[in-house]
Amino acid sequence: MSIDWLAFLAVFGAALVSACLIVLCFAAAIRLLATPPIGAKPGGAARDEEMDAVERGARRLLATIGAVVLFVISGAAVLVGVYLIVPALHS
Amino acid sequence: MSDAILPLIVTVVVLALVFDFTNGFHDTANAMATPIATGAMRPRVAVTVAAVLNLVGAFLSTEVAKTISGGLLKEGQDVHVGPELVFAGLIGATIWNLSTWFFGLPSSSSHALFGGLVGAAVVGAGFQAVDFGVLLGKIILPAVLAPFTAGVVAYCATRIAYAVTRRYDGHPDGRRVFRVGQVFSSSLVALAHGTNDAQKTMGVITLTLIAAGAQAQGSGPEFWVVLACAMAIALGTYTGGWRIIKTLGTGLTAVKPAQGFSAEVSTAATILASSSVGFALSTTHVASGSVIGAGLGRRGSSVRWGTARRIVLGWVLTLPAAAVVGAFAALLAHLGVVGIVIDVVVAVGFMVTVFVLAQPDRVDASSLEAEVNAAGAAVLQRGRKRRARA
Repeated sequence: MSIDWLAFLAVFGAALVSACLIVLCFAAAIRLLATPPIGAKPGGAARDEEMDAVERGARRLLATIGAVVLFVISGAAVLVGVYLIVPALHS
Repeated sequence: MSDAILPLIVTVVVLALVFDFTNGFHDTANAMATPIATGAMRPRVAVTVAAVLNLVGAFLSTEVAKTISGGLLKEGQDVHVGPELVFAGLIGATIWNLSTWFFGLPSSSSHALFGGLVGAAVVGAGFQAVDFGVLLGKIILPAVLAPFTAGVVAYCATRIAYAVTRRYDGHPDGRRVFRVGQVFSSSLVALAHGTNDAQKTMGVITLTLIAAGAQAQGSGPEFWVVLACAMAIALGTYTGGWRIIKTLGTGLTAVKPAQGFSAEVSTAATILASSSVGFALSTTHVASGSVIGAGLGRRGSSVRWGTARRIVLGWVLTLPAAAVVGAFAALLAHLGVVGIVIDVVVAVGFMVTVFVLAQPDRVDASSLEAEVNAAGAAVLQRGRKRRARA
């Protein structure tokens, strides 16, 4: 049997950490985008919806900047992915 | 190249391209099942994007394998994998790919190819032709590990996605935005697929041409081979294996945008991590594992384990079933030209039969889109009701 368990563990660790970090970034960006607009009425009961769009209206500037930065980081992760896929870029 | 062998070589090349085509339409689902299921991309748009990325991907990397079977057969030492064995192996692989498509099962095209070749080689050269250590270490164990790895990664990622976006103040949580991310994450999976999978067919054709003396030993694939393989896999991807997309996108669990995004990121991360350390995992196994993991990661979501069992059964059967078909094809091919002609006729007859049988309950872009829209409307209505009550 010629399986390289160390390599497998490395794959598992790298995939787990990178996927979780990317999803964390993107989800945090959405969380910031979903900051209730200034002057919004209290929303009432907790919601747990799948297809909610973001509310319209002026958000706090800091939340918007934070969201954009996190989206850019997520976008950079896609570029790293392309870099890993295209052999001409890294060999 | 002698004239006698030319028709056989042409047949092998054509059959390899047909296999490449089935490889493409079998694997569209790996990248595009989840964005289609959540409505992130309309079905036609999704398969077009996947086809273009597979086409591009096929040109990006032409590092073709040095052996047809990746060391699975003891090529060169005491086994000569001639064109007639490659031919029989391809028949086994193509027939099995079409059968699993008929049942809507995502199964690994590499496993089908290796299975077909093993079956043909056992008939042609006996059991000692197969390196069973390689079979276990490089094919069977990774196939067991891949879905678990991807499943755990996708489970964690999905939990994070929901935990971070959950709101307790009654304002919209914005989870629809995950659909934008899905466009990119699924495209990445499609590109990775293109760079890997067209390679296999390029390798098979190139090594056959080398064996026939039409090409210098150790040379890379000719441009027409790269072009033909890229076109075949892209065309297959565009045709879309809608049955498999349906199974993976809606059959295992009802995928929502946050889950879809988490599943695709996990698939991409697992595949890229594994291919960069040379521990290759099958895209199909990884993608299926991710969908199950994402299904388990959402509160109140359920996984249909019956469907999961059918898929796993398909994986278990792929290698032996393709091997049996490959073995029969090899037995016939031993009869010479007559046998090969019978092989071709039977294979073509099988393909036509499967397509005709599949017609009554056809799954295509429009029927799938209608289903997704209906599911979306149900979600919307439920949301409205809840809001009305609040």
